[in-house]
Amino acid sequence: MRIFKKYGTFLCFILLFIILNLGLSFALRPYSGSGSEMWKGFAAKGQLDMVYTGTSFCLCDVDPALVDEVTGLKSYNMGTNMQSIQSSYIALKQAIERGGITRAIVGIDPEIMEMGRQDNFRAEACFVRNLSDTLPVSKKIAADASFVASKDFIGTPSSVLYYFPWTYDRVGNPSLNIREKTQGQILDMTDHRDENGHYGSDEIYGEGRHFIDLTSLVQWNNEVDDLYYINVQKDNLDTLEDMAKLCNKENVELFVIAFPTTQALSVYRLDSYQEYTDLIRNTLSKYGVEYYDYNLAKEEYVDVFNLEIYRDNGHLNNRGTEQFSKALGTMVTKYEKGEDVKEMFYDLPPYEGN
Amino acid sequence: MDFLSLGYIAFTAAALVLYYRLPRAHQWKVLLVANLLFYLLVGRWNIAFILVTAFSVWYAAILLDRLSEQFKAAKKTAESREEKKALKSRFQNKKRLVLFLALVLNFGILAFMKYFRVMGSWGQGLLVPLGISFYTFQAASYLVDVHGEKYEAEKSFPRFLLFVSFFPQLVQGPINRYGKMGPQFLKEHSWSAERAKRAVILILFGLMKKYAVANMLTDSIARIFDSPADTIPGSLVVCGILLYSVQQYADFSGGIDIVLGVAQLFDLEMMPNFRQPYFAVSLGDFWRRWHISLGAWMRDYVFYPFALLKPMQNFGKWCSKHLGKHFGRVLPAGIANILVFFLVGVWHGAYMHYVWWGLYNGIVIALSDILEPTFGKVSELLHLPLKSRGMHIFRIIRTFVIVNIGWYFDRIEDMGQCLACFGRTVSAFKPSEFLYSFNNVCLNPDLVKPMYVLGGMAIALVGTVVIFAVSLWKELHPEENIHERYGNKALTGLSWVFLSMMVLVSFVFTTTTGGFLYANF
Repeated sequence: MRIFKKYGTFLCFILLFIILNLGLSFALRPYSGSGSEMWKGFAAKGQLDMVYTGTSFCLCDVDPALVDEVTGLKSYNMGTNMQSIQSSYIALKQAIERGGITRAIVGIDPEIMEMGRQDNFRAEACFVRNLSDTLPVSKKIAADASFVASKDFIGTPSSVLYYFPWTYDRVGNPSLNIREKTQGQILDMTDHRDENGHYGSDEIYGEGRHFIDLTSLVQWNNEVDDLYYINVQKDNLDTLEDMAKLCNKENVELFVIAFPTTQALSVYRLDSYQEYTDLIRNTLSKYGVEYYDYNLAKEEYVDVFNLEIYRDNGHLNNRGTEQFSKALGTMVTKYEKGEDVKEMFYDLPPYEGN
Repeated sequence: MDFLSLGYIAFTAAALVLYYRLPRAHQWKVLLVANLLFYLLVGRWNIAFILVTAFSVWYAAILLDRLSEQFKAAKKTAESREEKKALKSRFQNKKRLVLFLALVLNFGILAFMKYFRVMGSWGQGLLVPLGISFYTFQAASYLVDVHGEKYEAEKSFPRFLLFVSFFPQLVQGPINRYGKMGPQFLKEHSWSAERAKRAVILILFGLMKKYAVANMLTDSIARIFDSPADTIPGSLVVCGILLYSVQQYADFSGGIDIVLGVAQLFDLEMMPNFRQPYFAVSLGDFWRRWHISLGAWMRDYVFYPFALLKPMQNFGKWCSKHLGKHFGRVLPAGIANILVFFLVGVWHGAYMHYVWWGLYNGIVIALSDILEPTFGKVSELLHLPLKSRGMHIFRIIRTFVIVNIGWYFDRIEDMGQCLACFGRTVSAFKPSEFLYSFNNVCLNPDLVKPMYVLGGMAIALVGTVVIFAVSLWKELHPEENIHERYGNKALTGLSWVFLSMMVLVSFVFTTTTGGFLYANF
């Protein structure tokens, strides 16, 4: 009673602050966000044989059900929008510890390998927060602490904002969100993934986009001046190496891939892309891990340069997903049979620079 | 390390606990360790620079003190007046040499790290040590004061290092004086809940200014001034400059509020750095209200010493004789002002547009001094009520316009673009095109989600209204303390909640903390 008399006003305002935050969280935090669905789906799957990690390319391009038809395994798609290599590492670790996986397919691309975590705070924080929400209290505290105390965030506002998820994990339509929460169900199924973690679409990419294939790649590089030079961040490369080490230690077969997109070969300088590819291969080869670039897949596996298998300039539609997912299954099966997986891919044409 | 970060909050909290828990005689030691630890945390090699500055200045001050004592002792043995005069001259020269060498060393390091690296090819890749401008100026002021025998040199190097390296002020200042801070560090301090309450409000107010006002405007201002000048009407340029004037004040004064608040938590009073600058009645008055510590430093260590130089005094006498008493006073002062503001411009950065901005301010102040009698005669002729409220408001608005003209040079880095923006302002204002242009430049859906920009601007508007209200109250009640007037528990609590929520809500509209604006991660 004495304490309340002394600190009563202070406590009232703390309560007001908490109520305001809870209210904003209710209105703005998604009822069933992509990341939240991924972790809940992962928890519901129980024991798994294989997972896929990566950005929205993974989320859209990989249908675990189709891969499982080829491999006979049980797999789950852990891809999320703007998933960094560090978040992929977290996903991989969880999949090993909780899912008991023996295989993993990790998708990377130059943009992710160049990206700084601080520039990607919202995606990073959502990823860890959504994971943390599915964990028991002690592990939740540990997961939260590992994020806010990381060297990338401890000295930035992100370390404080993490505890107010409505500031970074927010919907574009609060009224729909409130209705979904009060009714306890998803009212609009757009932008939600299936029970295997895949998010499919039947949309077909529009006409009139310029598209480079392997035969015109060298000429493209000779003609265009402002192609992009890839600059991989050391932290990201170190994390990729840590993934390889972890998989080696836990006897998990790791496959590192690049998802097929319409623009990987047309945006970057060919010599830079080659250097990047060599860097990734050399880093992974120390651990006996291979890197497969599906932008170079042969037509019989994935018709990479056919615009009709894409839903936009980067992501596959259901038709493309079918080809690609089966190709992934074939890759895993061939590897386990000791067959030559590299025959599924073309080589990059040699290029010395302009 | 940002002020609003778990790292900074945890660090400050840990320092506070030790500061008030340990015996009071050790409080200054806790602070010193905290300072050095802070420096190590934000970049290990930074500490080498601050130690070099602290040690060289401390030792030079000790030498100056010794020379003063030696002079006093030698003076006693001098017999004739000529001997005493010669002795004084000899010791003064020695003291000047010590002062000169120490200042050249430290300003040389500052110049190299901040300027020559940018302009030349030496030292590329080296980061500018945190706070080097602030602690170098602070240490230099101490040394000049010891040289002038304003106070004795600090005998203890750790205590002097504490003054130079006080961690809250490293990021944004203010530039403190040893005479004011030194004694405070050695006093015994006890925790006060009332003081802590005020400090927290000040910190939250500063955070609100920085995040809910300044940060909300940054992107829009950048988009306006990144557009080629000939594609936007003058009305949009003016809008950009006005937004910049708000952003500049909110960002800088917000940071200072946080620094002052953190210092208050340690029971340390720092010099204020802002005093409602946009209520200034002249440009000179503005500079006595904006970045006060830098202005005071320049006044005490550049303006007066330069104006009192023999050649300048002789020049003043010549002007008095040939041009009249008025010019005898204002011309030397005008030259000194131009020099001061040239240095202020250079202090801000190694780019020409800062120099132009500094020179603009110096020239306007010099001209206003020179033309003061003329303005007086015109006012008399027109029977203007100089002491009326209307005149006072007119002066405030006039000064605001003059300051904002200066912001053109400060904000727009490229001189060609700057002049083109001036041209658009004067000859192509086109108010009818403002909305269309604003939509196209700041709300372009191809570049950003308009909802976020407008939301951010709404938050900034609320914040600006609050800042204006507080500033107006302080301007109208200069002798009163706002906490004593309105510091009851209910208002204090509500302020905490309001300011905190403003900061948090601002991040909902921030587009730079994550690559894409997906709502769904």
